[in-house]
Amino acid sequence: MKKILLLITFSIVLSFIGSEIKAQSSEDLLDMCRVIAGDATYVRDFKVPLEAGTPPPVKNTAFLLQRNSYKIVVCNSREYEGELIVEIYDTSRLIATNYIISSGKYYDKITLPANKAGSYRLKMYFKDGKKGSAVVMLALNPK
Amino acid sequence: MLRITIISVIVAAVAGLCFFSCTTCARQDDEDVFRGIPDSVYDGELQVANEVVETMIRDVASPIEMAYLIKSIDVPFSRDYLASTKVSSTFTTSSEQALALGIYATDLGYINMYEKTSSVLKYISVMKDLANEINIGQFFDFNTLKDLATNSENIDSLMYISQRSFTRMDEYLRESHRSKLSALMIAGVWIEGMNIVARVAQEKRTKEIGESIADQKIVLQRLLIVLKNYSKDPMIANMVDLLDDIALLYEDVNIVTVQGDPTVEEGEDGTLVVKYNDVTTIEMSDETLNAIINKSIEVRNKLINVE
Repeated sequence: MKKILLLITFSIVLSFIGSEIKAQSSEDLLDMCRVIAGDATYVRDFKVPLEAGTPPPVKNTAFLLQRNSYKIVVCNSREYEGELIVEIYDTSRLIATNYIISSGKYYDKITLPANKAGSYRLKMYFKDGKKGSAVVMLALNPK
Repeated sequence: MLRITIISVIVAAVAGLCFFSCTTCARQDDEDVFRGIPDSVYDGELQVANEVVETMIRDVASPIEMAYLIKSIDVPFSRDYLASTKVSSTFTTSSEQALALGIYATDLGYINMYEKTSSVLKYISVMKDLANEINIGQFFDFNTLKDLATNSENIDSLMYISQRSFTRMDEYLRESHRSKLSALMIAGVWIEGMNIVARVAQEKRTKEIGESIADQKIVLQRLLIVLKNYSKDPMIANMVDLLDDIALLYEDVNIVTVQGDPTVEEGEDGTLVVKYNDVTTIEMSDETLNAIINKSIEVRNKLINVE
């Protein structure tokens, strides 16, 4: 009995250790994004929390300055199947997305040279409504 | 004997749970202690919904973007453009401290961009003190920044940690319903960014600099909407009056954009490259530009008590 109880305790403790080691935090994902971004300079990041099914998309905005070239990097947690789709809108006009439906190609980085200063809307949701967790990093490309 | 063993097991499990989730525990304790005064205590009437205000706050460019633009047109670094760290003790209220934090964050961005690491320590020291005063010091990674500042080879990490600290402080202010302070921090970023670019324009006038100043018309309009929301605060009311003077000058600036269809292609490294074919035309006279430059410097100097 004593051995069984000790084994249960050990398992509980180990499961906590395991979850600590395995869980990819948003800071881990941001570190990943920095590697993918290469020599682009971090400006800000957007965390997209775990979602499932087809919830309303996460919406955010970013003000981009004219003449700056931006890189948008998407980092998905490897713990979930979901891949984050980012759509960038200039007011109501879709100007870019990292998922091209016609070719089925998914991109983890987009380069967007802003030739108009203004507020751009980012609409973010997980592909096919799968569960996912992701970070989107906005960075400045070197000139 | 069995009871003692069961109790021991439960104690061990609870201890294990607390130990392995200690990061979360500590963070929650900090949040309880440092929650600060929320906007709900503000006795003024909010004219714009909180969510709209938060979106607009995010819409003001970050501390490094203006510096990035200046660096790209080969303008040399000048310490004279920066706010002196000696005046930091004159910011005594939380509103003034939030504004000053934004101002110094922009200066730090400018210093980092030019890799002048010898000046970093002074700026991160005052920023740490100001952040502590408004209870967001836990998000300002002073020790890491201090270590990174000792070696110019760490400039990328220094820029990243500086910028990330600023983002986290700003996020936390909004999450803890202190959007007023977040708005002031962002106002500081804008005011100091304009000051630096205006000072540069006084010494080296290029088409890019002029257009960058013109572009700020859109940002200032949004910033004023946010700040006017809190104008029952006399310090903010005064700032709004000063910024309104700049906005008045911007009325003579016309920005016209002709839309083109965006196209995409795949870059060599697997990046999706967007070609954004809009064409923007800016109409602004030299007189208007000069007036905006001079007024922006004057307003910034008034706000940080520099004659």
